[in-house]
Amino acid sequence: MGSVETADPLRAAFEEHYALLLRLSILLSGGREAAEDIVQEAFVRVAHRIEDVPAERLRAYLRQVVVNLWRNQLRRLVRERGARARSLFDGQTDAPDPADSTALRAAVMKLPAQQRACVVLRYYEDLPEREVAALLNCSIGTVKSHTSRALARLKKEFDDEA
Amino acid sequence: MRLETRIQDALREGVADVASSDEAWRSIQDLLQQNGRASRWRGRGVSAAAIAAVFLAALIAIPLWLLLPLGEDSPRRGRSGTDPGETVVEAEGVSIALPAGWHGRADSLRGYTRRIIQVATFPLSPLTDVGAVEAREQIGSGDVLIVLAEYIHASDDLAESSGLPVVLGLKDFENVTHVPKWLPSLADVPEEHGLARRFFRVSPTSDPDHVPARYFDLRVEFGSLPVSQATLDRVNGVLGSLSVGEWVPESDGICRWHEIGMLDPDCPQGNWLREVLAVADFKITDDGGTFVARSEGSEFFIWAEELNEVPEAHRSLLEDRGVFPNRESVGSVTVFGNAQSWEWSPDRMHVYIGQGPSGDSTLPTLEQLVPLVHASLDVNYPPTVEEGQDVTVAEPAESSEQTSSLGFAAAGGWYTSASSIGARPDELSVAWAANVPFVSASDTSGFPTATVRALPPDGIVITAVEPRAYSGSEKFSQLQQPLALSQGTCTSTNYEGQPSDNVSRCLIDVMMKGELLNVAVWFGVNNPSEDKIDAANQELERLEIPTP
Repeated sequence: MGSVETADPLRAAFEEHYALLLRLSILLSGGREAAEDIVQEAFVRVAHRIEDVPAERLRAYLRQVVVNLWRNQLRRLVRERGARARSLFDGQTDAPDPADSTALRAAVMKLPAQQRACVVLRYYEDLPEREVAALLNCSIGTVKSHTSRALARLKKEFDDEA
Repeated sequence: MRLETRIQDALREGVADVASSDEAWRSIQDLLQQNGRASRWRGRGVSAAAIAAVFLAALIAIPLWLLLPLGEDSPRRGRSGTDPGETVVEAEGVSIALPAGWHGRADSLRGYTRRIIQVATFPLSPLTDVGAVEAREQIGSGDVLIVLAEYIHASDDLAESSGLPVVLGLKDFENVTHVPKWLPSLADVPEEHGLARRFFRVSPTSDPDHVPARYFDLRVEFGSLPVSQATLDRVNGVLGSLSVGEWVPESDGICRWHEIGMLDPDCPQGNWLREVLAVADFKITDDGGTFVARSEGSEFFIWAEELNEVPEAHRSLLEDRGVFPNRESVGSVTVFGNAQSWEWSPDRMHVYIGQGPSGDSTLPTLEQLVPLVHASLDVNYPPTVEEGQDVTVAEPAESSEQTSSLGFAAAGGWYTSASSIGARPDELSVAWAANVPFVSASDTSGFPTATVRALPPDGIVITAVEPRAYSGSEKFSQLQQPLALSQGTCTSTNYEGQPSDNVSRCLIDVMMKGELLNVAVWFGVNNPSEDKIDAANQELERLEIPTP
């Protein structure tokens, strides 16, 4: 969809942030459908106050809402994760090629939810540990341990430099 | 290339093609429209039934209003949660000391996971909204009100300051409109009042690696401007006593399952699962939003959800052998499993076990699982509790028992009263409930006229008249349980007998075993929010109606 010049602040926010948030949401939830539900709900929730949020903080604000919604839906997403992860990221039945980014991505998506969230927020969103801890409402130590466990797991299969 | 960099590249590559779409935008518009509740909340869509209902309500209400002294709508000072002799307000790891003569209280609000603390130089009523509207209306020219609300899932990026003590300066009061825009606005702050607001972050311990930070919205309102340095020093003295420890969930009588799940001691789900795990000899190693349990080499997430019936979509997933190839019969239930999870449905519950959280964690073997499933069948789950409902009033009546009098069951944040109308005191019982204190003492014995007239924006008043014989020709629909606003007719403004310009009203007139039940719901705004409508519906569910 091309860019649209609009005076509607919600539409402007949609144009600027929707795709970015949807990508994050897909990586968190593991499925496109659930991810779209989350991001659309996030926009609905902030719609009435979108003009009150400074433009430079809007991305962080929406990201917080997306992560909160994902956490709320975690139970459902966890129980459906198997099917959804398969539909989007699988197709890898043999031993993975260490250089294959698709296999690496699929392995990330198969991590336990909390580990995957830490990995996605740390490396995809490029956020510092403290910010990840605040987003996930956990301690920095928890972020560190989830991240290191996830990396250890991925290293076994994919770190050809190890 | 480092593994971290490769992960970053792989993730970005995987979603690089994901874009927004017109369809997504339309979905958002549809959702917004649905949330507007346009179909239910109409301006003046008065049906024939509603006209009759207005007439009936007027017949009941007008004589009562005539009996009552009018003009008693001045705000009443409520009781204080802390006597001046008590010097500390404490809640969920937060404490603040009160100077002599100050008052304080910590209240729970539906929709807010954490307690909200109020401290003031005047007596405080129970909190009814996060903006502390009621307390703010009582601020005299020499008074100060401090409100401390906590946000969960907040972000460092939004915090204006970090650590304690929080010290306010005169500059903080120079502009009464100084309210960070990303926080809920405080409307209607009088121009003569001084207001400061600060959103700050506190690490409860010196070990931020293991204890999450807490985020607070501090609002300090003075009854007059300018604020003197001496007065500000007093406030900073109070704020200097603020201490913040690790959050510890406390019972407040409200089940906040949706927000904090297993952590809430007022919700039966988590307590039930603790007992089930203990019976099956599993240890809980982490009791956050979802339990982590461990036994003999297995470690996994476990979650229990109150569920009378597995939703169809998930049921079909369970039945798909491609998704859940493993299934075992244990006792009276079937346990479904795959490489990542197990799940089953004991009575009124559904239990999930998932892989995690550590890289080395493993699911329990079937051998380990069997005693856990048996325990879930053996441990009784308590009577059903609706989300957000007070567990203390959730005990269902025996089917053979009948309610003998009209009234609202007790609930946190609601004030109730019951009385009678008519020539004889026992002729017809009436009951009211309000989420604000009754304004006038007579409101608790007669019709809540003054309370309805002075209803603040967040206020709700519900009145109900005992079912009685009806011989008129008007047709009313039958009562459907649970009683809800959707069974009535709502009018925003310009209706007969409107007590104040800001007050809207819903009338529910339904037949119950051949008798007519009249219920009226009053809101302090012309178009109440979905939250307020939900709150009213929850209170309507607590209306105990005598069986004709």
